[in-house]
Amino acid sequence: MRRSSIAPKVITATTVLLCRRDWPGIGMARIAYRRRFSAACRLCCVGAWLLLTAAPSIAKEEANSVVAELVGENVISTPDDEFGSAISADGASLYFTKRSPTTNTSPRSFICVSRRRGADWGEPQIASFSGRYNDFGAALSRDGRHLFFASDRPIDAAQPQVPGNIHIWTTELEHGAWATPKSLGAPVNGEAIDANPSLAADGTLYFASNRAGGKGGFDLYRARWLDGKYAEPENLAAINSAAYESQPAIAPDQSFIVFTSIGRDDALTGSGAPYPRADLYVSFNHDGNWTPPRHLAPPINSPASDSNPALSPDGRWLYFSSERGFAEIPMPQRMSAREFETRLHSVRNGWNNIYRVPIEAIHAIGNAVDGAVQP
Amino acid sequence: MMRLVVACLLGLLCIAPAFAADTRAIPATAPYASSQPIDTPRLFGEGTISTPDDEFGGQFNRDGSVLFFNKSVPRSQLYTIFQSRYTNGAWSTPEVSAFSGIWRDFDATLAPDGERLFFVSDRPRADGVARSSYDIWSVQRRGSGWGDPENLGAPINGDRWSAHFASAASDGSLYFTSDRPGRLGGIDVWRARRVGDAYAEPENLGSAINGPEWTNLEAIVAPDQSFLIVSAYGHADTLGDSDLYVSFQRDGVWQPLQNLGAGINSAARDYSPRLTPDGRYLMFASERGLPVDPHPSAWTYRDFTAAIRSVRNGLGNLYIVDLAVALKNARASSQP
Repeated sequence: MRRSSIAPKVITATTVLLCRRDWPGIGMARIAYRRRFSAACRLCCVGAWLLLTAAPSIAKEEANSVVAELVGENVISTPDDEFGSAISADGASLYFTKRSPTTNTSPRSFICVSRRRGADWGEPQIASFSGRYNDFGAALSRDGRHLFFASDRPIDAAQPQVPGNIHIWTTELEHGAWATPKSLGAPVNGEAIDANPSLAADGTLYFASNRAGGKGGFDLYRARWLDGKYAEPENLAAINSAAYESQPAIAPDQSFIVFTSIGRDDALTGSGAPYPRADLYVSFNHDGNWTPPRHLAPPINSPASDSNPALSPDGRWLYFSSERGFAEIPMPQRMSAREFETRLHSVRNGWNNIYRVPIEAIHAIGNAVDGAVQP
Repeated sequence: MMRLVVACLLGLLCIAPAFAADTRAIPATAPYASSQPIDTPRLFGEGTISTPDDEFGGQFNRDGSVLFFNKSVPRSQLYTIFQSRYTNGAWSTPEVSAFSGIWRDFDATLAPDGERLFFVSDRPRADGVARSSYDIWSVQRRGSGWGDPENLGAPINGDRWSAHFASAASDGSLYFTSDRPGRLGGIDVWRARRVGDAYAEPENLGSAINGPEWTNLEAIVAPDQSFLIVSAYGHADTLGDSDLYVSFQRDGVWQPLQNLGAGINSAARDYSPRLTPDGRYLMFASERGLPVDPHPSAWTYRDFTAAIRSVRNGLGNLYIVDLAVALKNARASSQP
C-alpha cells in the first residue's frame, strides 16, 4: 500500500504478477493488505461457498477425484517460497522461481533449475543467467532452446537497476549454455510492466501487462509471431475483467488457456478478515472465441492463493503453485508454541510450493463446456 | 525532577525518559534496559524472540518481565500473540498467549497503568457471528494473568470498518487507526477521549497526521500525549516501504509527521512502534536484511537459501533503541 510516488506504485503492481502478497494496487485501497480487509471481498466468501456447495457439475465430480501432487518435496518444494514451473522438452530440467520471504518489503527472487536424478529431483542451482537482479516466471519454447522470463534488470548493464521496472527477457541455448539475456523490446515490452510469458507452438507469446488501455489491473495479452517478429499485442478482452488477470499458461495449440486471477467473485477465500487470494481459471478457444473463464475446483484451487499455472511439454500435467498450508481461520484448536513452530518450519507452512495435477482435470471442464455449447 | 532522579538510579548516561512516565512499579533495572546507550537500533532477543519467523508487535508488561509479541503465518494466514518471560537472566521459550491462537490476533499494546492490554482481532463478537473485519479487544489484568477478551464495542468498533492498533494515554484517551468513514487517507489515526467509563465519539487527528496519500497502519501515543509515533505508508520521504514518523503535540495541535530518519528507518518495512513502560526505549519491527542489503556478487542457491533461513531474512524482527535518540532529530527540527 505505497501510493505516493511512482516507484512504489510500480512495486505494488508487481506484487500481483508475483502473487507475492495480498497488497492492493493503486485505486484498490479498499482491498486488504496486511491487517486490512476489503468490504468488496466480503461477497467473495459467499460466492465461494455457493460454488462449492451448489455446483453439482460433471467437472466437479471429475475434479474431486483429482489429487494435487507436491513436486520435489524438500528439494524443489521446501519451507521457502517456490513457484512457477517450466519443464524442459525432455522432462529432465525444471526451472522455477525462489523468492525471499517478506510481509511487504520487496523481496529478492531468482530463477532456479533442478535436474532429474532418476525418479527424484537434484539439488537446485540458481540458473546461470539469474542471481543478481530480480527474475521470475520462466517459460520455455517448445523446442526448449529459448527461455523467457521477467526481470527488473537494466536494459543497459552499465545502468543502475530500477526497482519495479519489469519486462520480459529471453535467452537462447548456445553450445549448451544460456546466452546473455536480451529484452524483448517493443512492441511486447512497453512503458508499463510486462511479465508472465507463455509460448504457443507457433511462437505466439501470451503475457500479462498493466499497460494503458486494459480492463483494469493486469490483463492478459497475446502477441503473434509473424515474419520473424512480434505483432502488436492484443488484449484478450473476452477473458480480462476489471479484476487482475495474469500468469497465462497457453496450450501449445492455443485450444485453452489457464491463468491466474485475483478479485473475481468466485474466488475461494477463508473465514475471518478476508484477504484477496489468487485462484486459477481456464478458458477454451472455440473457433477463435474464448469461452467465459471457469474457476478450477479444489484441489486445484484452495482458500489460499493458487497461481502460476504451467503445462508440461508432454501435455500430461498442469503444474501450479499454491500457498495452501496448515493455518485456517478459525483454527480447529489452539496449538502449542512448539506445534506452531514445527508447522511454520514445514514444507506446508503457507509459502508457495509447486504442485501438479493430471491435465484431465482441464479436459473434463473442456468437455463440460463443449457439452454446454453443443448440446 | 522525578525524571532525573529515575535516570540517575538507572545509571543512564543523561538519557532521561522522553516524556513524564509514571514510574511507579517499574523496577530500576527492567530486563530490557541497558547500562549503555542504545543509539542505533539493536536486534532484540536474537534466536529466542527475533528468529527467522516473522515477528512484530513487541510489548512489555508493566515491570518488563513479560514480553508480548506477534508471530505470523505466511501471507496473513494467521496472526498469533506469543509471550516470553524473563527468567534467570534470559527470555524464556515463547508460549502462545492464553487469549490467542484461534483467530487472527495482533498488536498487543499496554495501557500506561499496566492494567489493560489491547489487541486487534477478527474473532466473532458476543453474538458469535463470523466477522469479516477487525475489532479492537482488550483483556484486564488479573493477578499474574489476564481476564477474558472484551470487545471495545461502539463507538470504536463498527460494522462498516476495521479498527486497528489501539494505544491508550494516561488519561484514558484511546488512539487508534481505522478506515472508518470520514477518513482523509487509506487508514487514519483517530482519538476517542475517555468520558466516565465510556469512549466519546472518535475524532480524526487531522491533516497533520492523516492525508490522502498516506496509510497509517499503527500509532503509539506517549502517555502524556506529547507525541505520537506512526508507521506510515505513502510519504514522499520514505526510505522504503513503511517508515516510522513522529508528530509532537504543541498547545493542543498535532505538528506534521516527521520521518525518524535513516538512523532508525531502513529501506525495508519499519513499523509496529511501541514505547517501553519506563519511556526510555522505542521498540519496533523491521524487515531490514536480505531484501535490502547489497550483495556484491551473484547469489548461489546455497547462499540464497541460507540467507532465506537466517534471522535477517526479510521477515520482521524486533529492534530496540533509545527513545531520546529516535526522537532527537525530529525534536530538534520541530522546535518553534
